[in-house]
Amino acid sequence: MSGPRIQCRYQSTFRRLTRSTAMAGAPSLRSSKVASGPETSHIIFNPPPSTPNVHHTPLKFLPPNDPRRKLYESGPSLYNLPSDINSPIPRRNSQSKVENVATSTVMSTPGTALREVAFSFPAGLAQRVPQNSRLPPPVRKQWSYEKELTQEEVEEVRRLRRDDPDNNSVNHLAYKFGCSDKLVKAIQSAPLRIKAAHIERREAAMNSWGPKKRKAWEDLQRRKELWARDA
Amino acid sequence: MIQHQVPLSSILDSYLAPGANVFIFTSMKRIRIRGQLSTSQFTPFSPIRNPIASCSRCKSTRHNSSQAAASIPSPFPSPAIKPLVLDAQFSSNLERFPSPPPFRALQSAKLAALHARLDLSPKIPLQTLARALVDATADPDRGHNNASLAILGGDVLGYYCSEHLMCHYPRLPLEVLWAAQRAFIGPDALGTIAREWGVDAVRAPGGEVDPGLLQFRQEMINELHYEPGYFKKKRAEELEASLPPRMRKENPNDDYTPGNWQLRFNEAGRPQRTTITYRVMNGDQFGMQPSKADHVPKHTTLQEASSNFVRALFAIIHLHGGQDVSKQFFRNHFSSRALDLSKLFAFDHPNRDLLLLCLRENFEPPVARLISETGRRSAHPVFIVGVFSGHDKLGEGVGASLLEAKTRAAVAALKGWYLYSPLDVTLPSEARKTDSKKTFKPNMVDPGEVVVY
Repeated sequence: MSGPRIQCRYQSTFRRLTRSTAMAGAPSLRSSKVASGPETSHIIFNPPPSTPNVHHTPLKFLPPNDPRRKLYESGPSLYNLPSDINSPIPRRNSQSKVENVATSTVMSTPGTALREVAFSFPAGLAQRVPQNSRLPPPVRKQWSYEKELTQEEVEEVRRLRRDDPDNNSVNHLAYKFGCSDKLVKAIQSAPLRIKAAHIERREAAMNSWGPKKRKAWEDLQRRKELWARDA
Repeated sequence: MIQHQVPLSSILDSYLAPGANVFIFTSMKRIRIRGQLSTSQFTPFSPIRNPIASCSRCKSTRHNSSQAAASIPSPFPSPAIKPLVLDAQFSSNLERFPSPPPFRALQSAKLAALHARLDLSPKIPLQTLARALVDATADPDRGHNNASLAILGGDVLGYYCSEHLMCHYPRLPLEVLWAAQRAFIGPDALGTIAREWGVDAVRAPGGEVDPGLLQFRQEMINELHYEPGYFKKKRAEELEASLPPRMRKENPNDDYTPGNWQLRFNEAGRPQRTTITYRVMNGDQFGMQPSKADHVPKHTTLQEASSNFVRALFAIIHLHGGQDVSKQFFRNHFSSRALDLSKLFAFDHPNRDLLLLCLRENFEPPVARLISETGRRSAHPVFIVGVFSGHDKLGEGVGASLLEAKTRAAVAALKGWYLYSPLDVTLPSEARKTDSKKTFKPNMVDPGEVVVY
């Protein structure tokens, strides 16, 4: 009945969309003028997005006698940022925070242009998040230590899993004893018969896949191998 | 590159009656002359040769090396020298020899050019350089081929390379160390180096070809045993090899590069895994199966012959110039080659590895934290995940899924650990008693890589 749907863009639409999707400039590009200095005495620290270099050994991985350890910890570095980096207060009044800053480095001395640099990016990008700052949110729920099993409980898990693996699955035992499934697997691995049956079931399921699903799965495996090589 | 050599002697023979004297003027104008050479270098060459134990061919070489200790002779003949007289009878006899006799080394412009191009010391005679170019497949006589020199050169090269890697990257896992050694001084690298040096190979070796060419015997294509379906099979093999290991068909022997470790069986007849320990105990300097001693193959490849030449040349430099000169040569030609060590890593379980590493080193357990993200609900999201141990960021990764970004971050953290390089390193070969400037400081020794079962 109706003709083909044609996309219509008018001046009103364009302007409305422009206004609604307008984004504020990056914080690093917003000039943060130092109160005491001249108008242009600030540094725009807005490096292009790039992955960190693996040849830069993190501070935690340096051996205790490495001279870089002292340099990173005491000198001005991304390991040694002022602790109020996440402060939402405009830097214009940064002079008022003199007493909060413990270390006296170039980057932590208020009123200097270098100090402003540290405020222009989120704390998670720093090599070491300052102690008072909030860490970025974890990807998954925080990993918690599981309940410690007593020796009797360990023996019981082992006995049940070994003697009657059909009725005592890993998840069942983990729920029963209040520990993780990984711990159950570590205490007693499944008998060969159960493992073989599992592989058989999985292969039967995979054999029922069509060509598209199989190809997608194979491509994912290839990609996963590239992740592990970081290629 | 294979060159068809037209032997000079055969040209002369076609024009001249046997017994006629030919005067050959060697023009050496474009080659640097570093010193005078006594005419005694041109000892009359005896065409009679016992192929088993003949020293007549290396007479001049020996003479030169003994002379090198007293005064530094030039490897090149002086232009003031008398024109060389070659008997046409000698020329016709050249073809009987498996490799060019040493006196012809002085007539080869290619050899002199190679000597000059590599900026070799004048202490190294051209005859010795010519010997380094003779592979064992071309001349089975150990007194004339480069086999013994290649063994020495390979060992010295291996020492310098492993010293360089182990002192500068003390935490490298063993397999990565092997791969790095292979990348620096493996057959592929040495073959490439020889090609870059401009070493050409002969099509077939013989006494009449230019001694400046690499002499080796290669398998001719018509000697290949052709079977129907040969190319189809080869294509299938190539396709199989291009797949990642998990995709390949069951092949217990392709844990490592194909064609290396032979499959072994235990007493029960079950195939045994070639473990790292087994490779350490029984492997060569690259953790590969070593070739059998005293086994001289009938044919070899250009790459294998080229790498033997490079090894032999390195041995010659080490013998004539000493450790400092060979070390400088190693720095100039081998360790200066760019190698991205971070590309040699492949982890099976990066997240588990990192957890165990942190537990071993008494760090807080690693936690993946989302630093930044965009387009979570779109077709192409990007997540930036950092792995944190306490407040310290260990690694950072970017990915299209949270799992990918997390895995990449763990890989980056592990690479950061393994690729640690100390600032002040004293190589064991640098610190000697004679050298008062450097004193040996013990290098860092790492407890070892993280092993996950």
